[in-house]
Amino acid sequence: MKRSLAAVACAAAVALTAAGCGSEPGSADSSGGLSGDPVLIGVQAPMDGAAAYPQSGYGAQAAEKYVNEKLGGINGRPLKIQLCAGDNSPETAINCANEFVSSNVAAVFDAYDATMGAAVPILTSAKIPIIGQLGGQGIADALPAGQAFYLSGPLETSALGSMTILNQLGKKTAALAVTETPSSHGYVDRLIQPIAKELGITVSPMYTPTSNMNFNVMAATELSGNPDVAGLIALPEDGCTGLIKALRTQGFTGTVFAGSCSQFVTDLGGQAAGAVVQPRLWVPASKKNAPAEVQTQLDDFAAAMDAIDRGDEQSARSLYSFGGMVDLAKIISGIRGEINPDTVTTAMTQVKDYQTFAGPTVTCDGKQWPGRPSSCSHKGIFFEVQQDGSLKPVDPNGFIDLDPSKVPAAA
Amino acid sequence: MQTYLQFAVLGLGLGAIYIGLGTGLLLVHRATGIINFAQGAMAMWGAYVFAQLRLDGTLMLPIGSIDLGRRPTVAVAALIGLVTAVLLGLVAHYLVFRPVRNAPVLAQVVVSVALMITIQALVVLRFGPNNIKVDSILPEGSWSLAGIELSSREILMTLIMAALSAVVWAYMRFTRAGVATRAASENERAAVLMGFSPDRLAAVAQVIASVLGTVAVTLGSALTGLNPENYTLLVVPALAVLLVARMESIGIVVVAAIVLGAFQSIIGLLVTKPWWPVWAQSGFDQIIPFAVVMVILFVLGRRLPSRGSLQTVRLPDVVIPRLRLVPAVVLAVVGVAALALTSGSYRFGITTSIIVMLLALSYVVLTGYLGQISLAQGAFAGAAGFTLSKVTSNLGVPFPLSVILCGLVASALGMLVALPAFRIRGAQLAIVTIAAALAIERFVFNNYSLTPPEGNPIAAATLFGINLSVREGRDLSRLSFSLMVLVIAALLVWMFIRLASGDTGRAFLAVRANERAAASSGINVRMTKLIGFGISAFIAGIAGCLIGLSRGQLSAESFTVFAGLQVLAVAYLGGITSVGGAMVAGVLGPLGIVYVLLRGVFDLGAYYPLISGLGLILTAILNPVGVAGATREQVAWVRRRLSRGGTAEPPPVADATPKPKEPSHV
Repeated sequence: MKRSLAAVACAAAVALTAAGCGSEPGSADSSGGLSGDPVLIGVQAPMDGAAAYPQSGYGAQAAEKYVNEKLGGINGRPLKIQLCAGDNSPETAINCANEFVSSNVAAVFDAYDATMGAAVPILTSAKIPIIGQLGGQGIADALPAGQAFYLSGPLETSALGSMTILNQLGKKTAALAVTETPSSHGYVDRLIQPIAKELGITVSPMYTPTSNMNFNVMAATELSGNPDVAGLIALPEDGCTGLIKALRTQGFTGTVFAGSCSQFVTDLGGQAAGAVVQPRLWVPASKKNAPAEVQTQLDDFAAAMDAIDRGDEQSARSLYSFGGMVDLAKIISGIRGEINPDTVTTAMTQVKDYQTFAGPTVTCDGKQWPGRPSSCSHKGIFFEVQQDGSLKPVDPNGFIDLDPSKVPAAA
Repeated sequence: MQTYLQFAVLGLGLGAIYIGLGTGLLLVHRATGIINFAQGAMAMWGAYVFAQLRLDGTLMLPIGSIDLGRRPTVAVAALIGLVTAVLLGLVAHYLVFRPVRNAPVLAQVVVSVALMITIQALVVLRFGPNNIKVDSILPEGSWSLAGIELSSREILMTLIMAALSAVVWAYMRFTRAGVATRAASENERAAVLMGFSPDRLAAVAQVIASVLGTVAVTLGSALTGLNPENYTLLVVPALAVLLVARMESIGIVVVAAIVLGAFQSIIGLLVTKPWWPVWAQSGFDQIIPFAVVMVILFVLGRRLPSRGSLQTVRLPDVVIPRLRLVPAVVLAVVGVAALALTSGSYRFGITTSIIVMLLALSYVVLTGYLGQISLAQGAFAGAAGFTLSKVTSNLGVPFPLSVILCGLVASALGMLVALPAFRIRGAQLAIVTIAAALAIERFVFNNYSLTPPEGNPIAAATLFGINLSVREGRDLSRLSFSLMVLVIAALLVWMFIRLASGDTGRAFLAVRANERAAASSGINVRMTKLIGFGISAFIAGIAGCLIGLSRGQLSAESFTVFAGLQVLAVAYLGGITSVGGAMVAGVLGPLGIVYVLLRGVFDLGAYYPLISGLGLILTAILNPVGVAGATREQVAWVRRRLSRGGTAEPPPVADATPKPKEPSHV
């Protein structure tokens, strides 16, 4: 009996292991038929776990294929990404950083991973530059000049931007959900609350473990204080959708603030109308109201996501990674000679008045945000969800200049 | 008041899940005597099947999947989910729990923990690690009561689960099979003699429990979504509910579940109030189940019923270790050579293996020698690691004083956890320790007051001017760090061997074998347990410090309940009663050298938790002495053959408990 049991169990183990070895969308050849030594870029993306944003990795995968097949690679050489899936733990970020160093990557792209800070000592010690669309923790984006580059600005941009727009809309109280992590506590206590106080807004944060989000309870908790604005600072896309749906179901008709979430607009239809969102770029749903050149870029983005069978994963997060990686590829295409961490760093520091993909014009001279030399921009953009599901910029010009002096930490 | 009532009703959603899991736990315990730590994980599988069917019409099986072409209706999907639950209940009974029905409690706890790890790993592989949305079977809406709008879905969920529990109660009370199940729980031998098959009754109980849990999780996950973590660990509050009901009363399970769910919901509201202290904002709701468990076990500890079962299998044998120079030198040389001849991730893997060996050694002390079950060793390691971050970064305490100090902190925590062990043992101690581990993970390690946004950096060690940091520039695994880990591990192993082969070791074994007999022969049982927990936690603490030093940064993720359970898995797999077993565990352990090879060479890193879970189930059933024990037996057999019957090894120390007679077969 025992021997047969063991045999059955062993066979099951082998079969279970074998069964999982399938191919994933996006795992096909992305070299675009280019030859030559690939330019290897590490990508740290929060793809796994309860608070996952897998779209951040998909965007980078789409960019790899797009750069190679549509842009001709980097000076004719294929771009190759080494995608390391973070799970919101510093331990995994450390493992990823170790792998990046072992693989001799030319640069690491931070796909908005909130645990990037844990990788910083390893990457800076190995003199590998960190490049991203936006910082997620206030550590990598707080590095001295020349070690990190964030195209659309540091973490402070989100905090200052969100409170600025609530102030412009005349709101005085806000109940906002945020994932329960030490970094989100720090973000609220050190940035959101001081800025809100300066602008005369009372913010009640609600910390939510993303592994157990009961949307009815979350919505009821937010509404128990009768706020002018309900919503969220940061939640995974499914969390945004669930919470906003529960808020509307429980009769909330006021302004919903939805951070940089975007998929709820499609998921909830008319219920999403009136919500205010604060992405860093012109996101797909804003295409109707975007400038012509941005509309073309958003079409390219949609086609690139389709090309890796992730057409239904177009969101702010996937666009951040896609746009950031495309920009990075274009910038390092200007390098003549060897592409390595040193030359990438030099190329990044020389970026001046560069028009980013679906984003603002940036300059990476270390002077764009006081106290945050990694920042290449101090602009922000805000949208309001329309009845037809499109996003319309709150300011007709799209991007507006933010005032970093309102941020105590950067002053 | 109105708001609190609304939140109490919203908490019924959680309460309904506790009813399902708690009733299932009670039923299985009455039928088999086993406390099934995998109850939440088992309940989750059927709910996942339901959710996936509704998402894209795919019927996901443990191996392969069937595309149904289009999404089935809610009713059909729910029915398929329940059929899956029935099959899972049968598989769990016949392949996992039946073989250990007469085994010691340790093996039963280990096997249910192994099942939990296995199902969770399988869920990650088959359904992915991320949250998935679950369709609601029940309509959304609200009912008005005296002008107060109350959510109707949670109330309906609770009514459904209470009704199902009532059916289970009626089964136990009025049917012949149910009465026989209760009878067998009192006296299994008598039930056998009366012509019942406890085995078949246990299978029925396991299936009912699986279905009940699946219904609860399917209903509940519509509120929260599903991810591999949330429902697996809901077994902890469900265990609290089970203890409140003294493992006997289904009625009390229902009431306690409702009260606990409502209470946790109201706490969830209170923590958002401005007057609530910041330090108690994170994970406070997890303190409640732990507090309930502690209070109940302290108050009722001795009066909780245990089952009159037929134990035929002894605890794994122990071989008293001896310090032998040649093997020790050979091992040291092999260790140094392995570290010196490798580099990068392979050297780091070997270093991690040495650290995991120490964690496994802490299980050898506590479980292998003292016979106490602790599921909180990871928490002890974490306590030391977090303290190390504070004492090195904030106070500048130098190495190695810092590490010793933190080991002592873990030791103190271990002795604190030992206090319940004065009154309780076996599976109940496992419940206390897993509840403690979860509370420490969520409330302490994840606490914003303790873990700032920058994380918990740990300063690199230096000794006499020698840099012992783990990395420098592009060198990710420096030899000096690895050698330091090897030296510390060798010292601890040497101390353990000295201890185990002396009076303390003998006292541990006496307590393990029979506490009353040990006490009557003059051994202070309480003090022995206290020392055992203290030493075990000290070793785990040193391992925690080394984990911290090897990463330069720590978070709760290094010391989750699951991380601790995985080390238990490999410790048991290697052999829970010997240093050799701990060494095997180190080689096989999480992020150790086998893991690195699986990941780097065979690209099978994602399958590591599944392989370790299945390996543990097999070991617990087939080979309780573990890999090291089996190897030792084989070596001894070969030596006997070579020396024509001469004994080459000292005889294993058997437990003092007399071997019961074979049960009569029906």
